[in-house]
Amino acid sequence: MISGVLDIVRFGDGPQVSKAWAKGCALTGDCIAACPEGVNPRFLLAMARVKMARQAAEPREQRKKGVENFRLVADGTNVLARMQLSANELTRLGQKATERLESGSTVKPGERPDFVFYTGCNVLKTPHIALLALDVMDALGVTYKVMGGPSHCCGIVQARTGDLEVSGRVATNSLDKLAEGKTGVISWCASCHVQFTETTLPTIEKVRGSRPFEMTPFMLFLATRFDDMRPLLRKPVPLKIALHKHPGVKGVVEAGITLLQMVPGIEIVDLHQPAVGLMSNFLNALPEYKRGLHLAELEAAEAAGVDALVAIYHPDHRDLCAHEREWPFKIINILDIVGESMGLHHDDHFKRLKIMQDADAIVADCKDLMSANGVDPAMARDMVVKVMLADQPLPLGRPAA
Amino acid sequence: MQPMTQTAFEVALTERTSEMLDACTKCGKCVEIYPVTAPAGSATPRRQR
Repeated sequence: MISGVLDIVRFGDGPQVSKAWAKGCALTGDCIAACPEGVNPRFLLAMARVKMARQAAEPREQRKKGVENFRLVADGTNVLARMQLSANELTRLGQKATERLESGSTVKPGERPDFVFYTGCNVLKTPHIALLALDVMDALGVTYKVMGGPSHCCGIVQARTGDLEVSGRVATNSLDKLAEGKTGVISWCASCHVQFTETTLPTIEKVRGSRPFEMTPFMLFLATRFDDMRPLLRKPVPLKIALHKHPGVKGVVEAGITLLQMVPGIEIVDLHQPAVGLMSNFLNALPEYKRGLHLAELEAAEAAGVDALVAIYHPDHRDLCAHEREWPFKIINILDIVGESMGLHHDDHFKRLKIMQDADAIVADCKDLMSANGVDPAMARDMVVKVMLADQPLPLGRPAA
Repeated sequence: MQPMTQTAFEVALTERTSEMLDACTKCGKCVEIYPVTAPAGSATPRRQR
């Protein structure tokens, strides 16, 4: 199977089983530690996918598809964020500059922040998670500038269609902006993290002779500050919970568990479910398998009698949150719990809206913010249907017993 | 449409990829650890470690 992957990367073609492996790779990343030669098979599988995309379409078509896919991500994040956030909140998340405040920065103009906090694009669809991350960093006393959204693309969308030229250009432009932090970049999104740390940064290092910054996942950044976090986790949160796990970025799940164990009142139950993939959306190539995983986890959570199923990453929350309407437990993000214990809170509008399952009602609910943020109602409805409601791998409605 | 000219980024990416291809001994350990044993088909996940 691996010989076939090497053939695909070298020659653009290989056996079907190797193509299937490349397509089905969920970026769990166990292969990286398993390789005795220090090769990164996950990177080679990504390059195999690029080669397969290039074989499947002419350059013009690759570029067109990359542009279309980027536009859908951009429109989805821009519109959904502006349906849920005030102008001040958009400014905090680096999505809107005001006369008073440079967008997304907690330092004075001209000063360099401790870190750049790189949100990526799609967490802006569930912005309460990103706002809680900022609140936690504020509580820790670090300064940061928020960068993310479509204007700071990691280039993965274009790479997936085989357009490495635009992917590299976009990623390099973003990378030069991200270099502003004094001590590096804190990343939220696991997909952006892998794209930058396994493709962009090592390649730029080869071109320029040095790496412009190091990138640390948010949970691993918190792990370096757990001693500072402990006294801030004051309020008991009496919940029996289970953690929805994706182990693709090593150490993140373990850091999440340690963090939850630091919250007074939290009891963690292990549901003994498979932990696969980088984030939930990386199982999209295996839809039946993914549905099975989600259903098995919901059933296990119910059987264990948990109060909440807790995810770390934003795509997991998007995929799972609407199931809350028909299962006897809450579906929340890890930062909801951490925030509650620290006295921090942001309403999860995305979940509330998605549970409505009615595009017209959702748009009507958001009309004031849409008006304030200049969102066209027809565009909003389109994005709610395409981006919010269609994002439902396991259909709502419990299967018959 | 003519093939696009390779940028410095693409050239460096190709070089990195070639180095990794040359380093791979095809020992298959990466396949053994793959958590979805029947890729893209009847998937059988390894249990959580």
